[in-house]
Amino acid sequence: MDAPSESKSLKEIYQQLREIGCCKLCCLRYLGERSQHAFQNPDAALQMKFLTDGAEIPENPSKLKKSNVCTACMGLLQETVRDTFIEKIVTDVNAADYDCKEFSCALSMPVSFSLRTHSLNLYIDEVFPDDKDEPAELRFMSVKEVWKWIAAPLLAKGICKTFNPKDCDFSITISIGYEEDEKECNCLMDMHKEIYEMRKQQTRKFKDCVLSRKSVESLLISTDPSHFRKFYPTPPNIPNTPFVCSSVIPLHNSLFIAGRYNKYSRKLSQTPWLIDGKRLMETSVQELLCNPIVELAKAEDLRFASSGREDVDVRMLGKGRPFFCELINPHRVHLLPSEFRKIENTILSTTKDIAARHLQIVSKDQVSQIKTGEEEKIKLYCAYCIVSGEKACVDWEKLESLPSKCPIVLQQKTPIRVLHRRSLATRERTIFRLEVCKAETNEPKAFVLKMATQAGTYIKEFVHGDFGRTTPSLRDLLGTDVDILALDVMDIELDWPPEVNYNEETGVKVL
Amino acid sequence: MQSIVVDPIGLDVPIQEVYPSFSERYFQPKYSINVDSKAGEDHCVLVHSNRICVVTLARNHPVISLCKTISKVNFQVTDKTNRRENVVQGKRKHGAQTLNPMSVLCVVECEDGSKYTVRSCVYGKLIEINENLVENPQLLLEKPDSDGYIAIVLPNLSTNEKFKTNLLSKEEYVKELEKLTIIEKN
Repeated sequence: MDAPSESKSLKEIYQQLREIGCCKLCCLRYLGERSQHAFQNPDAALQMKFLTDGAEIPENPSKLKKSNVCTACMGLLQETVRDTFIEKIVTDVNAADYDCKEFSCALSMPVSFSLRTHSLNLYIDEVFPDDKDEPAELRFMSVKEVWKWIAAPLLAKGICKTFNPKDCDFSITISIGYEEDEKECNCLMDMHKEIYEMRKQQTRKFKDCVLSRKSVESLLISTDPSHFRKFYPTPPNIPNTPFVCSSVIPLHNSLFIAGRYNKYSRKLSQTPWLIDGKRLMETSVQELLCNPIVELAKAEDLRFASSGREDVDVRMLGKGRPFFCELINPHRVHLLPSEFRKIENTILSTTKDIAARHLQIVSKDQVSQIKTGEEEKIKLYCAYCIVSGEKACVDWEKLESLPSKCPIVLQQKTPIRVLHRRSLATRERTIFRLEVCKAETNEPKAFVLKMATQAGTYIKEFVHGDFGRTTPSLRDLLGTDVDILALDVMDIELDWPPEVNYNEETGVKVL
Repeated sequence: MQSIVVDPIGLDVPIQEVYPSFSERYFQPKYSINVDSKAGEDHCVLVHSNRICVVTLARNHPVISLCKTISKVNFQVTDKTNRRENVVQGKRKHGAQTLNPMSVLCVVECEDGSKYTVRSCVYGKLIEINENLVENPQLLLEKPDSDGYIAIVLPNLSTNEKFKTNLLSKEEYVKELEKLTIIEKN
């Protein structure tokens, strides 16, 4: 190994790097090259530095085959490997068929790569030290950076998207595999025996990976170079096989679709109702609403959320309930208002049970608004009640005295019907307004109660009292047994998402 | 935009001579007969469709059938255990007093000096006892299958099936009562 020397010419450095098995691009990196153009035209760049004057550079044929796998980039920057990588990425991404306009990409390297890079950096620092004593890992461009410079324009062309490394919703993660990864890493077990022995015992914490890239990197920084050299050669051995592209995972950030829904059925739950994995109901609001949206956006999965929920036997009328649907990994993100209108109409024509309106794309920030102010928002209800008991009859006079008692503050213990999945507590809830009307049925014992209540009020329990666990209840207020036989949510006073102007949109269509 | 015509509320509710009560609509009554081998001291467990159990006295229980005047419902069941001190936390009802079918929930003390022990009848966690009975013990007689309940219990899942078989269904209970009256007559 050469002694450190400050007087080494660029040519000498180049020759030595070639000897240890670096490819041209990696030589350029270690010569301190920092321009994208140079890496895209390595021969010209090297010539500019007067490094490749034809066959003048002596290559040691006994040590190197004509084109060995680069010891630094493991072929990643070498044309043959590079081209197969790019071809695979382009094919895979195109097959996944995303309509977004921009992309970013990330390389996920095998652990042994950290080891190899560390070894090379130690070698460089020793053989070609920096004037300012800056360590090699900071002085030079990394393999990843240079790879992106070269690959990004080619990928952009191949997948017809613009490269945007910052602030892009679509990313392609490329996992790199290396046949001898485990073999090369085994030296770590000896290098840091105590640490790995310990980790092997902490099976829960380090379940299937005793060696994570991050932990290896931090461990290497704190390893004494002379100790390191005992277990791993510097410079590293020239690899027998190059990196392979083991997987290409394209992923688009979630797309949020919001709207309001109505539910007209008393036999439809909001979300799929499963008990022990068995379906209790054929479908649900969530499925009827989201399936066409998921289909349109070609998303992988979805998450449904709404501003509260109604019971299976409760209708959701009026302007409807605000909801959103998070589309996970959508392949279509450029959705048009006309496509949303089409979904709304399809839902109307296929089911009488629900309707969707105001469907639109919303931002992540807008989504968080649905959850804020959840406690304050007012809900309007309409309840069909009867006085029970054989000889009971509606005491209209007493009923009509109720509105003047508002606001009525209730103490509600968690209702028995939800006690199996909610914690027990007594909650204070307010009925802001009450209105009594005649029912449109032929039942003389029935009356209709319209209410404006605080969010979180359990209406059914307010009416029948839940065995005296909600006080005061309508039963307490009237002094007679009452029961609730039907309930509708009339409105949820939350202006979200923004209303769609249907007239304007249809106007545009006509034009 | 199409507008949808919605039926007025209540049109889909069938009109009935007598409507089932709230308890009848949501709970299935189960019975434990001659609790503690004491004749007539039958208990009723109202099982909600979500499996939560509400323990109460059966109409046949002497307190109700003999129209006793209750002086006190005593929840201090042993020197150490007071059912009123039961505190539960979280969805899983952590910290609840655990119950087996023979656990005493309370002792009903009547003005005539008679005392009746009320037992859990099920395995599970005590969610709450009926605090209203402290102020108004007469609720036990007046509304045994609603406001006069004694306790709410979250049954253990594993023993859930077992207890269901130990308790009698309404039909079985009625049959048992008939048998007993025949024996008495003889």
